[in-house]
Amino acid sequence: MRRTITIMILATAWSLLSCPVAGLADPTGIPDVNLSTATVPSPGPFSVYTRPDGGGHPLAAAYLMGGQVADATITLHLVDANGDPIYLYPFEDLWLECDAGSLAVCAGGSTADAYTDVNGDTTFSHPLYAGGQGQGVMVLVSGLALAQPPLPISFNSPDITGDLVANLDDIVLFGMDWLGSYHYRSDFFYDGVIDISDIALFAQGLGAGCP
Amino acid sequence: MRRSVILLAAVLLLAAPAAAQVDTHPDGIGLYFDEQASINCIDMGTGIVTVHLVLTNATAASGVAAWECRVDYPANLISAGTSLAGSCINLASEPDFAVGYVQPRPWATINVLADLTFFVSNTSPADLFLRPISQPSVPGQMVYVAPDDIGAKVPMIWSTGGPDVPVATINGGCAVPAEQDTWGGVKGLYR
Repeated sequence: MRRTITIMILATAWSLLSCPVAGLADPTGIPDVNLSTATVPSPGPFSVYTRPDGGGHPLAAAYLMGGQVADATITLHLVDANGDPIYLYPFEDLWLECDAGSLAVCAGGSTADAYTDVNGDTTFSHPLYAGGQGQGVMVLVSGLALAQPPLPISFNSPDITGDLVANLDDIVLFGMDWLGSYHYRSDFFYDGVIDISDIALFAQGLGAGCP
Repeated sequence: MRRSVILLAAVLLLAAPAAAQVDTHPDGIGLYFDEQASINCIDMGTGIVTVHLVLTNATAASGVAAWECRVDYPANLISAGTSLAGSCINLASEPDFAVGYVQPRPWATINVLADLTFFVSNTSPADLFLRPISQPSVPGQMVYVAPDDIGAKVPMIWSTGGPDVPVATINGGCAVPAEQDTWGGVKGLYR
């Protein structure tokens, strides 16, 4: 009898250990936007020249103020509520948006480079497919923004109006900025002035639209 | 006799000066009446003339992504049209040019940037000048940028000396290259 009771106790303990009760733990690999993080290699602030056709600059070759090229690759560390890394999370469900401004993104134009790896990490380093301009980057995981301050990255584009094509409307606005007061939206070279360097980058983007 | 004529013809052919590029200095900018950048002065009656704005011996090997300069000319020249080379946009109003290329202009020793056509209304001397635009990227300079180094503004050097020296002349004296020959070079002419 005593032996039977011992066996029953052991069996119950084993079943409790092997089958966690819902609510005691979160073993499902659901991303936790409070624990997941996104970082950039240095404090910045960065500016990235972007175009709707993806012909802009990669985040890995952003500008610092003054026009120096710097790496603004965003590294996302994706974890669940236990702090465990989430492996193979789809890159399509990880994208960038801006906290302020009017960045207009083509469909799928700001997604992560790849699925998360075994450490739960992935990056955003490629050029965006986007127009308009925006400041302060947020990383979204299946539509939920990470609970952290926006990253110090801004975007501008020859598609100044943000209608996802760089055309005559944008020439008018750029011309006004070139002759008038400073506007970040036209400072593609990011040196605090709008001059021949910006004209070069603006002209290169004329006609660009989403793929 | 026949042999002498052939010999004489050969000598004359060798002696005939080939059209030579006027400005051999790096990053030269000038106005020329031919696309070989060798003629910067002509005499003519009233009528139409085309002058080429040419960047010579650019130091940036990747080509030209954008450039800016101003073309000044007297009242007896009446603009009859401007043709910019390549697919580009001029954001300035003529006679200022602030031109950016959709596709950068490839490098060339003689890079024709624009063709300007004028009606010469009388035969008075007409001097043409190149100057910085009214809102220059670099004060006092005409510049271009190369596609592989957008931030570096490369000064373009007057083919004949400076903003107050004509770079091309119609019905007047010919402009001269910017830099004087060295004494050794002059002596070399007589060796």
